[in-house]
Amino acid sequence: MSILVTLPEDVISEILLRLPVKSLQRFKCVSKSWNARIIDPRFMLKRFISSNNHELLLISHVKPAKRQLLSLISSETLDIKNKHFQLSFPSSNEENRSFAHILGPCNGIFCVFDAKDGAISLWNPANRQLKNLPKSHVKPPLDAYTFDLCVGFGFDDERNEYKVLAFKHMCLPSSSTIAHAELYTLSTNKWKEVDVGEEFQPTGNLPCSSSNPSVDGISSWFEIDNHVEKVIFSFNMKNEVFTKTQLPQYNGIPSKRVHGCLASLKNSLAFIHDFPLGGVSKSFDVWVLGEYGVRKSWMKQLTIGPVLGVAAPLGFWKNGELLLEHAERNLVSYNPVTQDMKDLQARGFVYILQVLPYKESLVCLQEAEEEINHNRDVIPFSVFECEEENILQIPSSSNSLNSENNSSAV
Amino acid sequence: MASTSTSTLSRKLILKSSDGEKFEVDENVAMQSQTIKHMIEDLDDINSPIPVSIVTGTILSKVIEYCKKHATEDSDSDEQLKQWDKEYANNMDLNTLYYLLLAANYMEIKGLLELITQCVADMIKGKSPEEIRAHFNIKNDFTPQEEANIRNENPWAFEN
Repeated sequence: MSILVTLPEDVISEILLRLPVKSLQRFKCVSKSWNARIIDPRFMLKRFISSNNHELLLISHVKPAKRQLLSLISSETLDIKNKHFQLSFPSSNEENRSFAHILGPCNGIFCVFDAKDGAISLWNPANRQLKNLPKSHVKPPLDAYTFDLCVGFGFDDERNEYKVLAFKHMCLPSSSTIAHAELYTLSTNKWKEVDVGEEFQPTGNLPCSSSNPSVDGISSWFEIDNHVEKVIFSFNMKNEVFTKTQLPQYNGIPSKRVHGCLASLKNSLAFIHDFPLGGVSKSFDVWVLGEYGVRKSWMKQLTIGPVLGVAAPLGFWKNGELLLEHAERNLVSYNPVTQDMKDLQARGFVYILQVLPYKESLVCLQEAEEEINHNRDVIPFSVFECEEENILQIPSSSNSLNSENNSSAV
Repeated sequence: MASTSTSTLSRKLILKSSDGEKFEVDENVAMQSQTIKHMIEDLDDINSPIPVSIVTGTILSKVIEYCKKHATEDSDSDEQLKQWDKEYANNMDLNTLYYLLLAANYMEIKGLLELITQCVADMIKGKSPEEIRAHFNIKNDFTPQEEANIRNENPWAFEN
């Protein structure tokens, strides 16, 4: 049935702003003017900011048969939607299972990487676009090999640019270690070397971390400084400068033994300090950083707990609920006010178990993808969408990997 | 009327629809419309009717119904108000809904505009491009090839 009125352009835009991504992708072929409106970057940005979509969580977890699964969960019901993704990537096959780490999101884009192989991809689950980053042509120091890789992902809103930092711990023939950093920029689709100053030379392995959050274009992660001190390294995607921030002061606890995670809390970097209280009970101090590089700018927000039976904090979402890894390796959400704990039906363990609060966006990665398909020099990631029941019937990663191998070897 | 008790505190305004129908409303009810708010500021005599030129009496009475409900801050919880909004929008036939949308846009009533645009979005989100064209009287100006290209970019968007 046709309507009798003719709607002004701005009213149509108001309606389109409220549609899910899937409808928008479909409505691009309504007419030229609808298409132009939907693909307008200003429209996308407005939609992302004003989106009254319910917030989602992307969960990286492990299913039986040790498959890593990425699932979207709705914040309203806390139930896993029937939307799961399986990743297939370079170093993972039936014999040698490895897991991808997820960073972000920045404007609805995730960065997926495989620390074993160094392969990195950008991924927008809302429009199913996946962009495999090209191999870097930056020459590393002679005869050095990478033994640890840290990846940072952020959005430079001054240049409207997505950037990925590869911060490599390298070992020289003299067996001394050195840091080597390369920065990828989406618009140029190229890597370049970034200068790492003397004071940002890590002196140990990369400490295990469940997330490297990016807050306002600044990506942060844990490092070991001077062989003993656990600190935070940050890289600002806008001015491309590193900073080092010490953890909040704790009387008597050597910082190397301080456990916790980094998270983004209301557009600030937060450190959730994980305090064993003996037995199976823990409490958590939540600190927020005021100024990068300034230890004194840490502000303690609150102490949560004691909470029984939890292994590690993973981050926050919506109403200040804390996401935790339970001692039994399932994911729980804990409300500090009501002290309610809810099992989110996902299992996993440190590093693989990740939860990332997320809003759908229409940011497009596709144009660059075509280019890389023509000139592929890395074995790419691929993502399959799958349903709960047939997770195991999805093409196995080794199969798809082989086919990718064949095509790229030609 | 629900607002009688407050009428001594609030001034009355007269709104006049495009077809000449007059409505007397409390100022705080009418002020939810940014357009009317600006008109009043420029007005010397608030006793003369304020023309709401593109909105008919039928539609204007519905707009006023919405504004009255949202002007009173008492009793209703957010939940009840949401429920009321839902029923209000659901009781409209399709064309009334779109006339109301035009009125809300013209009169700049933020809450009403959000309510109706969301209602329209929910109504059309599952439609096919063909249904959308028919619904909004839009002419397809793509060549078959152009349209096929767009479809092939995102085949998943066309699956149910």
